[in-house]
Parts: sequence; structure tokens; C-alpha cells
Amino acid sequence: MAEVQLQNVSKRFGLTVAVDDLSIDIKDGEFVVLLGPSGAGKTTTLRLIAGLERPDAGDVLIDGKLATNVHPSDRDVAFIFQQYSLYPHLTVFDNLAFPLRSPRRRTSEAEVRMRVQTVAAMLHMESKLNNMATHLSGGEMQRVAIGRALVREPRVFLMDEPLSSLDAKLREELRIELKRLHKSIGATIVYVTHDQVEATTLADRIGILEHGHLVQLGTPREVYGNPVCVNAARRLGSPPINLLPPSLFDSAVVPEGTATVAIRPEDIVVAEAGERNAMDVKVLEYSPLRHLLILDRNGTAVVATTVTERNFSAGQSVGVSLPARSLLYFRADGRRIPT
Amino acid sequence: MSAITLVNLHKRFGDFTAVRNTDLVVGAGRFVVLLGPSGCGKTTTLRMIAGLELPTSGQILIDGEDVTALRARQRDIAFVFQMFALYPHMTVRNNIAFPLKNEHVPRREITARVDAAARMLRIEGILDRKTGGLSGGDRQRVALGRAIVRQPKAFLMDEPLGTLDADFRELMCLELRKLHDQLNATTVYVTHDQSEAMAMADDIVVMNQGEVLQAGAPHEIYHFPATVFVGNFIGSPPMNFLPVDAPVAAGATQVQVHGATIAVPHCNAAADRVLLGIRPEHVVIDEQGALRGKVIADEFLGSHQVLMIETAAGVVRARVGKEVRLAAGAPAGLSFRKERTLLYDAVSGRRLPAGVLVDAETGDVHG
Repeated sequence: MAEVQLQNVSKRFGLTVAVDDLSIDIKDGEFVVLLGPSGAGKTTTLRLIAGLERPDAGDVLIDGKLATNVHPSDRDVAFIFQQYSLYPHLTVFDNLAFPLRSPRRRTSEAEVRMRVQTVAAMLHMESKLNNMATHLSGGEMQRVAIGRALVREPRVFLMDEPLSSLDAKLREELRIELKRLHKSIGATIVYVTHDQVEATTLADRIGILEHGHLVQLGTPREVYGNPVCVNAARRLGSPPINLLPPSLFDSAVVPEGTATVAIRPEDIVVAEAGERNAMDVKVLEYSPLRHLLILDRNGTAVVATTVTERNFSAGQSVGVSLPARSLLYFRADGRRIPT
Repeated sequence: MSAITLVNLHKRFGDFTAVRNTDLVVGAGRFVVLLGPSGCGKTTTLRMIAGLELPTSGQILIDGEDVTALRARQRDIAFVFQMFALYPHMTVRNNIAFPLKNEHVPRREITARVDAAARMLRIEGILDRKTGGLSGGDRQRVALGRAIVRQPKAFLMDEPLGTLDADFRELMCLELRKLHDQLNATTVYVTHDQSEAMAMADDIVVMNQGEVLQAGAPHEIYHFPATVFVGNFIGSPPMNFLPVDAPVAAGATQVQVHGATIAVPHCNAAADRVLLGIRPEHVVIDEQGALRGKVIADEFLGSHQVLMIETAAGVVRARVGKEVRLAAGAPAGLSFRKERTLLYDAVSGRRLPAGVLVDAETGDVHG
């Protein structure tokens, strides 16, 4: 396993700047998730690490050694794509063995057998080793694709939305399996997704990308609780963070230069009837399954969630408070105002 | 719009029974989702309603009229498939108009109906484009448009969003539900994705191995799963099931789980082997909790987190607020919200009827 560093890396395609002066240090054995909207440069960053793209400026280091000019096949990294491309005419065993049987590797057949068996056990695929790859479900195919990377025992795993073509139940299953795998083999993994559940549950650290820039890198709790800018705040959270005009708040507490006041839906305190210090708002909508309230505050919709189910009906008035310690303030350019 | 009734429907393919004992009423104007894992019989059921498969036995009624023996085209039902088969060489307008031209509808009416459907689906801007170059979402909308213009008695949809990616699926769910609210068309929708079902359905019908396990409103299915399978299949993470130590007698108000006493709503039936079922959000981390364990993992999800707690009775998942900080290895006591604690017969998998359970959201009473 190895650490990965990008130093002031830039990559443009024609007039589009895909990655802009990006620096990141990924530690040995760390699981880093890159999160961002499409076009933010997530996949390009992975491809730069893999050597599938050459940077226009800056350097890629793997295990402390300059890799910028090293051929992809000599970097010893494994790339797992969203669309698992298995060999349909081969069995699961032969698909898994394929990278080991390449002439460059010269692995003995006994060792091939042993490594394939180990990986198959890890992925709960032992009973399917003799199946043709085409006779597998989507989740099993993606497992084989991951297994094909595992048998190589590469220094770094790069994964580009590996779960996004699977349905919810399978996604959850494989997500838990990936987490377990990461723990047991201690691999360095760089993982691209736009699914925030994958990001917060898998990552040791999340990197938020916007327009080719790394805007924040931190643990899931840091990025969620302490976002550096509006875009980072909006990237995590379901339902999303409330972005409210400062005019809704007491001007004495709102710092100068505030353009937006933000609060997470779960931080809004819905008061019991008759409680003081609460402002009265009207319920627009209540979704009991998600414990979600949409409230109306002077014409602005505010979303709140409650811990347990309560009984609300549309049109009803409730008292809520927005605790000062939960408020985040942002400038017009999106930057956070420290408080 | 029309009501659809299935009476004791059976379908066998050779030795394999795809659908058995299926009784179901789809009320006029309802959006009903058939939900289950692959091979559960949901698509076969839908194809029988459409007239694409003949049942081995049983009856299908549309608006009270027995249509079991009618051909698909005589049933006046629109089927939207997962793989939207559009004619790539035709414009969007001609694709949508196609079924009407076949029925020799007057040209002026075709134009009016296509325009109305396009407006509803917000695809007026692409009516003159060929379907070949359209995005997945637009193709899906065109396929829907082709169903809408026919003004059928009911819509049948077989995983229409299956091929779209996750983000887009969510958006299309909202659109489909909105469309349903406008058209008020009876819709039967097949999926294996619970989030689609939860987002759209008036009623969810959970199927497994050819049988209907439960049919009801989403909140009812979620909070009061009729069987262990339903509790596991619905919910993410799924319901916790823990073995109860001893046989449970009718009238019991508490059970023992690995020696810990757990209060439950008044149980109205007896069973020898019993499982206690509790959703992760109704497990409370409680110093005084009777069931003790140790945190083994923590899934952080932003607004909340799911703790996995290893107890002598098995691993319990608890959904707790983001402020709770319990590291792996920390000891934890657990208690369960009594009115949400359910008991299941471990042999049949069915829920044991309990005393009055009042659903806090709706006032519905379950037992």
C-alpha cells in the first residue's frame, strides 16, 4: 500500500479547465472520497492518479516517488469503473485470474489459484467461481470487478462511482462490504461518487471539488458540521441545509457582510406547545415517514426534521427556535464568516 | 378511471408457480406499487393485468367487468416498459401520435392530444426532434407521452426508471407522482426499489415467491410489517429482529431477550418461538437499558448516524442523532420504544396480533 500526492496539478481539455492547481495528500491506507457535482474534476483527478491523463502542470507522487511520467501499467494502481467490464466468455474464476496470468506478471498457476480463492472468499463468491460472467446479477458482476482489482494486490485502488449502476439494496450491501474490505486489507482507496451516503459512511476524509478546485478536505463530521463555503455546506445533508436571508434574523447577532444564514434541518428545534422563546411559523407540509416539516417563515420555506414522529397538519402553527450555535454565516461570494 | 380487481389469481410456468393466491383491489385513481425482489411474481402479475399472460386460474376484473379472457388490446390499458421502445427515425411528435394514428383518431384531435401531453411532460420544445439523439430522461418522457395520449383506463409500468442513474431516478419519481396527481389515472407500477415505492405509492403491495405478503399505505407497511421478510425488505437499514428467550403466551406484556426484560404492547396470540422486531430509529441508547452491548461500528450519515451494537442476542442497529459520540468498543445499554416493539412468530414469520397500537401519525389502529 502507498500514499498518493498531487502537487499543484492542472489539467485542461481545450478551453475547459478540468483540474485547477489541485494539491492533495492521501495517506497510506486512507479511504478518501472525492465528492462534487458533475464537471467538478473528480474523474479527471482519478485518471491523473492512474496515469490515464497527463497533467499540464504539477506532479503526481505515489509512495513518495515521482510518477508523473510513469506509464499507467507500471504505477501498480487498480482502477474500478462504474460499468464493470468482465470477459463474458470466461468464468468468474478466469475473470479473477486474468490480471495474474498476464505475461508481465508470470505468476505460477498454484499461486493464481490460491489468490483467486482468497479473494473469492473475501467477496463471498466461492460458490460462483465456475459460473460464466454473463450469468451473474449486477451486484455479483461488480463484486467480480472489485475482485479482479484485489487479486493484483495493487498499491492504490481508484474507484469511479463503482456502485451507481446498482439498485438501492445492492448498493447498500456492497457499500458495507467495501468498508469491511478496506478495514481488513488496509488499502489506500480514492473513490469518486456523488452519493453522499457513500461519502459519509466510507470516507476517512472527504474532498469536496468544485470547478477543478479542492475546496475542502476533512473527516465527514468536519465537512458536515463545519463547511468552509456554501457549496460545501450544500454538498452534504439530506434534506439539504436551509439557506435563509439574514433579514429573518436579529441583526444584532448576524455578523457584518452576511449574505446567507444557513442551518441544518435537524438543528431547528420544534418546540412543544406553549414553550417560550420560539417563533411562530406555519406548517406547509409534513411527511411523517421522513419526520420532515416544511415551514413558512415570512414567505420563506424552512425545512426542519424531528427525531421522532409527531402529529402535524398543514396550516397548523408551531413554535420553532433556530439556536445561535447552529447558525452558519456566509458572504455573498460563498465563503464562510467565522464566528 | 377504472378499478382493477384480482381474484385468487394463479400462474404456473411448467412446474414453477410464479404467482399464487393473489387477491388484490386497485381502487380507481390509485397509484399502486408492486414491490419485491426479482422472481417474486410482480412482473408476471402486471403482465396478467395487461393481458400479456393468461392466468392458470383466477379472475381479473376491470371496473367490475371480467376481462380474464380478453386480449391485451381489448382491455384499453397502457403498458410502459423498462426499455422504452421508441421509433428512432420518427420525431417525438410522431412517436407520441403513433397509437392514435393506429386507432384512426381524427388528425385535429391527435394534434390537440399530443400537444396537451407534451405540455404536461414539459417536452413541447423537442416535439420536432428525432428520438434517436434524446437523453434517457427525455426518451422516458416520450414513452410516457405515448401512453398518456391514449387516455387508457389504467397505466401499467414495469420498472420504467430501472435504467436511469440514481440521481435522475429520484427526480423522475417526483415527476411521475406529480403527473399522477394531474391525471388521476389508475396506475400499477412494478419495482424492486423501495425508495421508488415509498416516494410514489398510495398503496404498496409487497410480494415474495409468488405471494402477496402485505398490501397497505407506505407508513403502515413501514411501521407494521406483516412478516419478517417485509420488515427486512423495507427500510434502510432494515428492521432489527432478536430472538425471544421463551414461548410467549397470549396476554403477555413483556418478553425476555437474552435475559433482558423488554416491555411490549399487549400480545393477543401465543407462539413457541418468537422474534422481537424493532426499527433502528426506535432503539434508544439508554444507560438504564436492560439489553447491554458494545458498539462495533458507526455509520455517519450527516443529520444522523447508525450505530451497530453487538449484544448477546445479536447485532442491533440504532439510528441516533449526530451529536451522540460513541466510539467503537464503547459499552452501551439499549431500550426499545414500547409502542413500536413488534412480535413475530419465528416459524411462520408472521406478526403476532397485539393490543391496540395507535399510529401516532394517522390515528390508524393496528392489532
